[in-house]
Amino acid sequence: MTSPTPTPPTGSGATSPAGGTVARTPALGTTAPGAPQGAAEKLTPESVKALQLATSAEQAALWAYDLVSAYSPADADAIAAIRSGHLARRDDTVGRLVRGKATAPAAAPWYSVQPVTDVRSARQLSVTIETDCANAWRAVIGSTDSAELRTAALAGLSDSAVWLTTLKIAAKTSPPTIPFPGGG
Amino acid sequence: MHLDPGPGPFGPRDRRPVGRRSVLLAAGSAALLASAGCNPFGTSAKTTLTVTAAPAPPADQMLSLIATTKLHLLRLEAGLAADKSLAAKLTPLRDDRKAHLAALVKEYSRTAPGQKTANTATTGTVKLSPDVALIIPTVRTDAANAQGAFTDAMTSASRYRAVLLASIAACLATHRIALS
Repeated sequence: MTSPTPTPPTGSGATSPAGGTVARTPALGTTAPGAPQGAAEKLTPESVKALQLATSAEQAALWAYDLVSAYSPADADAIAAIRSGHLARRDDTVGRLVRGKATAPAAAPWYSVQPVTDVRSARQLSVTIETDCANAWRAVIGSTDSAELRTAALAGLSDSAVWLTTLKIAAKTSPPTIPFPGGG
Repeated sequence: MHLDPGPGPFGPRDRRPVGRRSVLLAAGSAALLASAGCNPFGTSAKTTLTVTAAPAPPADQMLSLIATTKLHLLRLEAGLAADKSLAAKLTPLRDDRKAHLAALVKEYSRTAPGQKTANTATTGTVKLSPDVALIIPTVRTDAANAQGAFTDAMTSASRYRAVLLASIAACLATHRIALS
């Protein structure tokens, strides 16, 4: 598995575009602090699809970091900061989709991920999370000619790359960097 | 004896004086021709020719990014040569920059196949400050400057190229973290 995938719950819920079943998330539809208000941005269908995938990746990251933090107490501060960053990015992306008259995907109640039993596996999951987010944001850059959207997507790509490096440095993993974040 | 001039070759001579309108018309025409750069009394050798030169081809931003990458690669190698204890920290970054250079040259060659000005060879040497304590700050500043250059170039590049430049910019952001 290369990415956390939504897991169908046994209870009721709405079906997400990705095929999983999702829960109602009250935060959806809100605009992140600092995001431009009011102006409806024109989004191409290609950009909408890429942004929806990026939103799903951020939502999976939010869920997975709760699991990671439970098994990696030494990284608790860094993980809390990273999770806050993903939360802000998710909200900003949802706001962008809503302003562009597109549907924002809702979060799944849980995701099927690789087994996490200790610090090592928890850190491995964080690598998977950030790799998926970086891939998603890189795809957004390739989906648009808008300089503004590209810049926003680069912020998402850079943040994921930096967070991955931060966690690798904390885990004393070498090399801590990769030449092409989001490159697959 | 009365001398009659008789009819001329074009009929009877017209003795009417030249009218004011004709004089003004002739003067106006001459002025118009003169202002237009035409000299009805000149020779063809004095004609001014206007030649429009073809504009220079637009500079490809990739060349500047390739040059920047080469310079920073040389600085990383100079830093490694100056202080062996930095090998663990700088070697992965140098390898990343080498990969960037190869990708940039490949992309430039793809879009400008006739050009032979870009290659991955880094010639020459760069001297860093003799104070080894300044090596890391220098390399970190290089990473920050390059990140800005790649970010700026990314916004106006083609989609395919923008993805590459953005990925390199993100990598340079991680270099700054690794060097802090």
